Amino acid sequence: MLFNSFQFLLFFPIVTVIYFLLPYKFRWFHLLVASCVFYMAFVPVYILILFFTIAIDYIAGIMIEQAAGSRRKWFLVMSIVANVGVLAVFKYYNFFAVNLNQLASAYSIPLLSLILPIGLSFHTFQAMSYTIEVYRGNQKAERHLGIYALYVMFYPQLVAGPIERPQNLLHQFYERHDFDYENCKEGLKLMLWGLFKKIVIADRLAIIVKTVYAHPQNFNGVSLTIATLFFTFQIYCDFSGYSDIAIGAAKVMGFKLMNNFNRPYFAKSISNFWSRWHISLSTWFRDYLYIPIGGNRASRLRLYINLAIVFLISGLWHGANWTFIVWGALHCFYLISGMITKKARVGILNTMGIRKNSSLNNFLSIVITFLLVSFAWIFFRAANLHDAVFISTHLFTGWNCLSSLQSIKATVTALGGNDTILGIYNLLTGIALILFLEFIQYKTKGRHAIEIVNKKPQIWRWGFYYCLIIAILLFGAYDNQQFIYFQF
Amino acid sequence: MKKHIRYISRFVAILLLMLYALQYTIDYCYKKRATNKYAQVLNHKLDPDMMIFGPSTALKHFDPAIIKKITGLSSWNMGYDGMFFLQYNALIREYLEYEKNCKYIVIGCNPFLGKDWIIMRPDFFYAYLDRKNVFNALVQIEHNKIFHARYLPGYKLTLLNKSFYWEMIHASGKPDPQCGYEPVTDSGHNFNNITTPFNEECDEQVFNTLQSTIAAITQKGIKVILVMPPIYERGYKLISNIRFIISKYRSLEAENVFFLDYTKDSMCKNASYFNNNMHLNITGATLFSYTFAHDLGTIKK
Repeated sequence: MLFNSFQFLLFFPIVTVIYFLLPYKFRWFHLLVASCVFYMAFVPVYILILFFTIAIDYIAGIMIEQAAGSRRKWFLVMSIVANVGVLAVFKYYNFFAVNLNQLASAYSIPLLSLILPIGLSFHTFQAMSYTIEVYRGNQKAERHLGIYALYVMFYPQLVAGPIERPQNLLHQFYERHDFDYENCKEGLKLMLWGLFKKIVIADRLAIIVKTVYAHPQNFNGVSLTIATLFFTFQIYCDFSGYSDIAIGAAKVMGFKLMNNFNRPYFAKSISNFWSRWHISLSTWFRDYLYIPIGGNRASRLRLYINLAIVFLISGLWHGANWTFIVWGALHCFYLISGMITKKARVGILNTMGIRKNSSLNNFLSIVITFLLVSFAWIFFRAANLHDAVFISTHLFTGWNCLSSLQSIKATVTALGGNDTILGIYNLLTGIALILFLEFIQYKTKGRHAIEIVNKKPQIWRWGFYYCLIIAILLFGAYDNQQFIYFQF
Repeated sequence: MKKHIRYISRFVAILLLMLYALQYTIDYCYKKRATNKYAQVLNHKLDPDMMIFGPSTALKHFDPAIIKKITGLSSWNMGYDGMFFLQYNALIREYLEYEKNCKYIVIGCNPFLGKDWIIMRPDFFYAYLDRKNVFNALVQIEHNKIFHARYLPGYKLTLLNKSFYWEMIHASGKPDPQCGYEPVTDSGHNFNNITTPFNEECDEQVFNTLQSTIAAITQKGIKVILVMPPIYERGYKLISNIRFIISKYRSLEAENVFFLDYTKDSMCKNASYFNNNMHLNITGATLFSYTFAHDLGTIKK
């Protein structure tokens, strides 16, 4: 079930009202059933895969806690193999089979006709964090199968995160959540802002992005640049919009989910970007992969190798395609070259008389980081490596089209799918929405954007909410677009 | 708790009020400004001697100028590509509500007598969903969408598209010299490659609705002319149940209900008159319009 669907508009209030009406001891069961219904709205039979990993990890958790010595490790390995195995079959098998078949044409590995279960990478990683934390002794094994299943399946974050840690979420299912007006209000506001980001900003920007990225060869450098910049904001609004709705929906029922984004495009470096973007995933990789393989407490070379491993796997996590691997590799390259050139860059700044913490330096750092991240998104969005290479090598071609009104019109018409009016409309609304988003984010300085009006008089607050609702209805793009991160 | 409920209720009530007001304003502006042929019917402004309804087989085949020249009857072509009976029934029913001059209603028949699977150009109708005839017709085609658009405040706003707003803002206001007629000007042939014969759908419920609409028309003293336009002979042979479909239409013949079948006309053998199996090109449509106008003269007598 999509958060931006009519079904969810009915599902959410019904589930929430029943949740608060039910006696406390039945609530976990109600949430579990609701989560199953939510998940089964996609491909019902795939819930069996979830049940399989839940059963394995539930047993593994108890076994790890009860066992001693190396047996604990074996149970952990068993759990990880089962989880990664499911991922390998459903997400990566065909990718490796196709590539191996191309390498060794004498052999032909058969392909599987499987649809990728929605949100598989998210709940698999959440399940793995449970067994790892039990193994580390940071979390007691959960004895209640229903509560454990709910930990994996809790519907607000089931299909696109945030990827929760057991220490943060599991105990909340045992807590008594009475109806709290403040929670309800704040949760609903967050959901409203998330919906606005998804339906109005992301889906509106998506129209131009989709047009250009479908046939990049038909567009000049100006269009390719516009589409790439639009995608930079599209993916942010799409995914952070989902996270806001998830966090808000959970909050209405009294649950607190971790924050997933912190104004990532205000990052001053790539490492800073990764501490602001998809925080639940980047901290997952930090805690369960980067640090265990040595982290930064190693030689320079080893550090670079560790980073390469993390970013390669992070790229693969996002999708079984070379484009995602290159995207991960690009970020790794940015980080490593940033480390290598750090001294030289500081030297250049000193020579130019720019202080490290000056506004100019901060501004330049934000712009450069933003451009680097935007460039990397090309590989994330392109349908294949061929298109990605084409786009990245043609960004600076054809800019002379801005020299005449005729060619500007032709460019805008192409952006609108051979419709000048639509091209102008989508371009102008896209730019206006991006400016609005950035203004709000700048003003709120890391707090939730909707808080911008929290301290204003009621007329202002209500006016703002009404404007958001009407904007969602009037300017939203309604062709039931999925959230981009569902495919992961 | 009571305070919070009061607070929330107030917020929701104002929101609903605003949504209703916005929706009403948009609908009002559309009704005021739109000048397309459907808006003219739905705004009760068009009342010629003869109205032609139907899908593309009406739109591309009946030239009101020729009909006027031969018979002296003013007419408007209300056809639209892919708009089948359940949908254009909304227009017929709405037209019957207000007409004063109409003498003939022509229905450009089509071998497809099934249920429409999609509403064509719903933006022409969104501002008029409060009309019983429009709502009842469209809700049969896309039930959830139309039901929500009618009764769920704000939902309709999510459906309005560029064409709707464009019509609202930019309506030309100039009369259409073709009176709704849009012939195929493409001189090429687009005969498809289908070689295996197939059955066209014939839904009893749709047929019964057609029957009751015809009854409603004749009750007002208007003559109904069901016209099966020419079909290219190769295309005719491909529709296995074409005779059955034609016999269904013919069964509707009664006093003041006429059925004109042109599927055996000599022009059906001549590919140069056709754009594809089902549609005449402009040359064919001109010839057909003359033939039809002359036949209409016979009916008039």
